[in-house]
Amino acid sequence: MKRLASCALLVASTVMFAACGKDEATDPDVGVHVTVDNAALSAAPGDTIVVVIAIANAAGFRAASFAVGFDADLLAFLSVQNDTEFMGSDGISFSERAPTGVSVGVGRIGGTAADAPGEGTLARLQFRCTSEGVAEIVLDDFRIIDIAGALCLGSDALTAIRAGVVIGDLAD
Amino acid sequence: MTRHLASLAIVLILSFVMADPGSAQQNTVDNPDLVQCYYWTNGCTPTASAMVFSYWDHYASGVGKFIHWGKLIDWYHSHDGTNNIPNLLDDLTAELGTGADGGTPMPNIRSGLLSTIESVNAYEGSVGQFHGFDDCWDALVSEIDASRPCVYSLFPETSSIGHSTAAWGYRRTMFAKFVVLYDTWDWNPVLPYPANYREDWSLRLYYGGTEPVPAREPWLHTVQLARTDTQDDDILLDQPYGGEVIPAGRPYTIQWYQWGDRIDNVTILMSRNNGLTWTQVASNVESIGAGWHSYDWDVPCVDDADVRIRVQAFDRFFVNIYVAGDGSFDECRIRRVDPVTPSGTHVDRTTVAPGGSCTLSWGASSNALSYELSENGTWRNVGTVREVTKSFASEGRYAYRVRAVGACANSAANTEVTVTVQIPLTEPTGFQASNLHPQCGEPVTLSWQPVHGAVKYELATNGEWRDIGTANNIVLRHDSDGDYAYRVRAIGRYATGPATAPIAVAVRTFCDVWPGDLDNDGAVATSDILSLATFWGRTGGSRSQGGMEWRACRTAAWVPIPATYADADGSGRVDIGDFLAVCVHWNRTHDASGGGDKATESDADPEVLAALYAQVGDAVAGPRYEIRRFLEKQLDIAPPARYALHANRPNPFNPSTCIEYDVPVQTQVRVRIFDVTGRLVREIAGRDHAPGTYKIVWNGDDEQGRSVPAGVYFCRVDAADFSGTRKMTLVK
Repeated sequence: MKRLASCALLVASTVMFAACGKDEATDPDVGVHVTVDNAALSAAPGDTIVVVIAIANAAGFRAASFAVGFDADLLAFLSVQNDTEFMGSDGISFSERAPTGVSVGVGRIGGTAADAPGEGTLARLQFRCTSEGVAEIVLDDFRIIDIAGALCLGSDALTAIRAGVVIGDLAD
Repeated sequence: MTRHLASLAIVLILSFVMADPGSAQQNTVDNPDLVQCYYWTNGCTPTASAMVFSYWDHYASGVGKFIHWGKLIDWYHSHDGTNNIPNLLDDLTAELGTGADGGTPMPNIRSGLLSTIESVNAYEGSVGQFHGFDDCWDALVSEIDASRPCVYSLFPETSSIGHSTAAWGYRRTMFAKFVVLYDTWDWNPVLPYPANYREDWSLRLYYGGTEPVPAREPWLHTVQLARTDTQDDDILLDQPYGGEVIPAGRPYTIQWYQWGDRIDNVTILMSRNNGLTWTQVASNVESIGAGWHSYDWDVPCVDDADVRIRVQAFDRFFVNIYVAGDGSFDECRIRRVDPVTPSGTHVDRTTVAPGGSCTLSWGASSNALSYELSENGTWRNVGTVREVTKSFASEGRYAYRVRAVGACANSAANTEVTVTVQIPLTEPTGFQASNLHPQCGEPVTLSWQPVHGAVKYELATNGEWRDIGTANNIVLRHDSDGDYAYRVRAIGRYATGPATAPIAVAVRTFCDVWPGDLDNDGAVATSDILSLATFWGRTGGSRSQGGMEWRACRTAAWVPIPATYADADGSGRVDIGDFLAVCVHWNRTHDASGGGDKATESDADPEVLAALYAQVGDAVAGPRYEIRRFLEKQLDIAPPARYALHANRPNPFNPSTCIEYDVPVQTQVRVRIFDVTGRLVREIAGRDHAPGTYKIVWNGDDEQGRSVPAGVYFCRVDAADFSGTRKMTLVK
């Protein structure tokens, strides 16, 4: 008897950065939040899943890059899409295959700080489930850049966020 | 009758003498420079009488012209006849006086005349009484030198043709002697006398000196004197005639005519002081037989001078005996005309390969007899041509000048032209540098292929050329950062070859990177995408400082240096992070006037460009659209020819699908989603579209952002007169 696995395996789905354009030392409680909205997913082999990455407290946001790690035996990366509500019409996203996964970049071209909302969907990662199993998606190596080009948090202070995907009937 | 005629003659004589009562005495000359003298010998005494009268006539008239001489002669002829002569002579001697004036004593004259008349036929002469030419001449000259006018009557011996010559002369200055010869008979019609010459008598005037010539007839260059013991031997100097301009330094033909057969040779003399002294031009010039004779005189190269030419004839039996008079009774002028410098020499090519040739030419020079061409200082005559073709067998440098050759002197040489004979030098090929981006102190070897004909090479560093010797390579080291442009050229024996295109060597330790200005041109713009695509994936040193603040970030130089700027975020790799820098600092600028390393490589990776294009292919405005258009140009993507709505992909879909449509012209486009009932679910596009292909993702939500249920939906695109619909199935 098959049993569809429910959402599971969310190890850590939130990371907080220093707020863009703000002094972390003087205002430690204010920082950019990056989360995975749907950190627990289930799907059948052949299905397409979308991992939605949200960002908050990111006024003055301009661009972000991060690495996406996943089990290539279970998942195939399809694309990254930026969100027009958050990025506006000037948003752009880009992905590059890397040895251990995919490098992703999203950002807005031009514009002013006032144009950039501080909260919304940063990106949508689209995967195709290829085999049954429990797949982990690790988002790491974040670089969040504000409109001045400043790195909101040093690259040496990254914390990975993860999402889990149960693919197929794992009851057995 | 005779008496009557004689009386008439006296009357005539007196009439013209008395016509000017203020003039000289009848038998004297009141001009202190003119002392009369009379020298008589055998001859045509009537002529001599006429001479006297004409002399008086001349000076009595006071106008310096022989106004009445013709009358005298005519009068004489009108009384032609032997019987008339004595009466005439009587009348004349009566008028001439007794010689008390210092001239030849009249009694002597009279007796002489009378004895002649009485003893000999006045028209035949007498050998015994004839003094001969030399005596005649000497007597004449002596009288003149004694400042006495004189009359000389000469009649050749036993002449059957009848000839008489008379002369009178005077001396006015130290060297000016005027001698008038009257030839009363035309005895040789061969002479080229003018048309108005009267055959029955002639008057010939021999004059010299600087005095104005009172009356000059064109045939007066003739001296006709004859030896006493021979037939007539006369000589006529025909050329120069007087007044000619004789070019100095060039041949000139002196021509004379002679009669008789006893003249053997002539001596030609020239005087440059109006007859005061004479210098010999030529002697022993053969002149045998009647007719024309000439002598080609090499006129000396003297400055402009007035000269007189005299031809003296010598008898072959009496060598060095003066037998004839001289001619050239008017001055001619030797004029020296030197050639002008030919205009500058022209050469049709200044550089010639061995085995080749060139043509030299120059302008004409007036008064040039020929031209001389100097090749490297050695002159040679090339004749009258003004164009010379030179052929060259081997390398060399040849300097040419031209001068005109004149009769007396050459012109100055004209401007020098130089022809270089050189193996054609080519631009060095294979010019390359071992390292275009060395660090300080790191050697850089420049090398190139040897150039045929080169004897050495020169290297230019930023435009400054220097000799680098014969090797076709050079090792360079740089002490400090800098941009160095190197060129090399071959140096031949006589010429310099063309230079290579420059090779830029950038010696760098650090680069100042402005994040986002990936091509370091001073602005963040679409062109930076090319740099990104060119160096995509390149790695190099990273910089410690994080972030992409808009400022110069000093970074260790990469190889190649332009890649350093493409790593905008300093991660050590050109990747997506650098594109984000473009996004962050779009349209920002910085001062790049100081130069620096611009992106020179444009080998943009089309896959990268295509990947970027996929991200902006739906842009209709703003920076994304700018990038889109830029990428379309780079990728050679032409706008679609017509409207189209393509099938969405994937279909069926979950949760999103991509809708792709073509817009050929700028227009308003609406993209809307309807459900199966025709209800509008969402309008996902509704604004102006530039020409292009657009891809829009529908995430299966409605206008409120709510997910729509699974089912069939329709995508409708409306633009201008186009309308297209596609069926889409959302599965869940």
